[in-house]
Amino acid sequence: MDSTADPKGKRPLYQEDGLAYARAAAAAASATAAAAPDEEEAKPKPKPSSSSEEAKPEPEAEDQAEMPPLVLVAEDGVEVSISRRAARMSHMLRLLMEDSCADGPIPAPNVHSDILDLVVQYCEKHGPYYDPEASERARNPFPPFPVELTPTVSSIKPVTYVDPDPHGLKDWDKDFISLDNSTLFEVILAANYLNIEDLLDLGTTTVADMMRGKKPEEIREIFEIENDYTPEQEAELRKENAWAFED
Amino acid sequence: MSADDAGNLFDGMTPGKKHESAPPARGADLISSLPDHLLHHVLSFLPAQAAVQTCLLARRWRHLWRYTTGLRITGLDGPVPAEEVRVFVDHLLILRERTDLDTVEIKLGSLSEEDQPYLKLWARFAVMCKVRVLTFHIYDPYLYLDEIPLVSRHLRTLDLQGLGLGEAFLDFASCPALEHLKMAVCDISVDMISSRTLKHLSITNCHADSGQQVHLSTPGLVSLKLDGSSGMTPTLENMASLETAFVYLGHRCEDNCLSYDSGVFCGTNNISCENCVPNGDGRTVLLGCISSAKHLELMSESGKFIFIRDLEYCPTFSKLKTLVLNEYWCEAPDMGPLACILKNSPVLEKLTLQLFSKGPNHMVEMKGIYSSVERLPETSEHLNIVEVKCDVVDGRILKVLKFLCAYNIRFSFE
Repeated sequence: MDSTADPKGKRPLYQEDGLAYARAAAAAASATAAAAPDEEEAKPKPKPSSSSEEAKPEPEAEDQAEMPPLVLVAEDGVEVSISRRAARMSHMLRLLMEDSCADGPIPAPNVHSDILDLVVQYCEKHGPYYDPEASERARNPFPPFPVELTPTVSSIKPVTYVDPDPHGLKDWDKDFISLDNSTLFEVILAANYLNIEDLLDLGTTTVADMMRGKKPEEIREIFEIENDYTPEQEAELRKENAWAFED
Repeated sequence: MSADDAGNLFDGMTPGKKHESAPPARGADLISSLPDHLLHHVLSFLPAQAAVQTCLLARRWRHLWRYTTGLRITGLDGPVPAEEVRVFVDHLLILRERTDLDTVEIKLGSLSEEDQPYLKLWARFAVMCKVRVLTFHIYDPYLYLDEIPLVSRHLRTLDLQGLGLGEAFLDFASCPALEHLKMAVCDISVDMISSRTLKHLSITNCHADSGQQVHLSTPGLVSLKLDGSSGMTPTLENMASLETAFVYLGHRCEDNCLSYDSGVFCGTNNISCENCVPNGDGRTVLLGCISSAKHLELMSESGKFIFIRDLEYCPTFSKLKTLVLNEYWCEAPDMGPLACILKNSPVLEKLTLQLFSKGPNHMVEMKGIYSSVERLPETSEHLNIVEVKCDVVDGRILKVLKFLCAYNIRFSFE
């Protein structure tokens, strides 16, 4: 893919393309751009806790907290700044910072500034506690069913010496992701472009939750999906996949 | 119209292929504006049957289910008997595209004899698809897996329930990426469970045959949970990277003090039954191997000899910061075991005593702090919080409080 493609052109969908494009654009822009306005205060460091399970900020991240925030440019030209600590949550931005290509404005084409604001909000909230390894480990790919059939396990519940959610992020996430459909999908696409895995998971599991337990007709209604099968095609498909439709 | 004409506008593409595009969003149909790979991801969260049923939504969706990166083999509303999904899964595994699978979850209720070979086959299929996270729960113990080792360069997390596991399976030498192992309600009557790479191990309510001594060879472990299994307590190896451990020796633990029933207490100084006598070879069963942890929860039912016997070796918990104990440690008349472990924890910051109350909620919670600057010489200088949690404040609790008062700790109610 041509890394200097017109920003208004095809939306880059893959990390490699987006990264190359962003690098080239950032390199070109930083040659001419004025210094980024320092809108954001440096985020206060999280309180040190006695529990060693909580992620300690890495030394490299601490340095970055002192450096000026990054500037993202939305498709409508509005600039949105994001602290370096929060920017770590985006794999793409992390690579840019490592390559020192992050000093000038970074284009985020096809992401409206309102959506970019939301995404930055998410990253600023989670940023101080972000530990890439722990996040990978803790990621539970499958949200539990509403009704779980578990046998009686009669053992003492461990005292929660390590609160799995000490900062109340789960509740915050729940509120954050209660968005109308159109915003939700825009956030997912933005998280995909910037490669923010945690936000992408949050968005996609929310969509899956909306689909769960619903018949196809109900799903179509929720997401306003137009059924472009003819009745004959649909009947044929039901026969072809009858093994999945037995009730 | 033939079935071909009913095909969708965009071929289901294999993941990772570039130039994958999304059709232009039609009006309000925004979910269709997501690129294929994101929809594959969304469908992976649904029970497999629901994922396949999305083929009906619109032409775009006709083949998406075939490329999901995860499979959830269970009923639409939760675990169901295996026979209800067998025909479906047979079709699914053949008709879907053979992609790599990131996560596979098999959660099924009851099993019959005829189901068993299929279930083993599905697990094998998952491994062949390079699965990284495999969850296999049978709520009708036990399904005995064949005596063959798992061979996978990709498997990272294994979550098992209701399975019978053999010696060959539990030797994870052929799973060099394995980091998490969780076993609940499994039959693990083997001599050894071994993995050099394992970081997190959890064994809950498992079963080992009477007299079977299981040895855990997991030198790289960071967290350990041994929770209420039946049989003898497993022996461990020294685990230098261990940070947290939860050990609960429950009623079905076989390591019983022989004098307990007759009311005689085999304390650290009063060895009177042969089970409570230390081995004499200098190796502790448990405490010594977990002594490098920073957080420990050590609970036992009365009459089990493990902790008390291990204390004879006085392992030093040189990094221990928080400690949670139950009433077992306070049963001796002189509270010797509690005093001993406090003495051997030089950097302890917080002690929690959970007395006669299983939690997680307790009727009474007391917090104690040092009432004077002076501390007893043999306790950690850093110890600044002592919590006592119980349901009823009776004579047994008062005895503990009196003991702690001798340490110059004063209590207040929350």
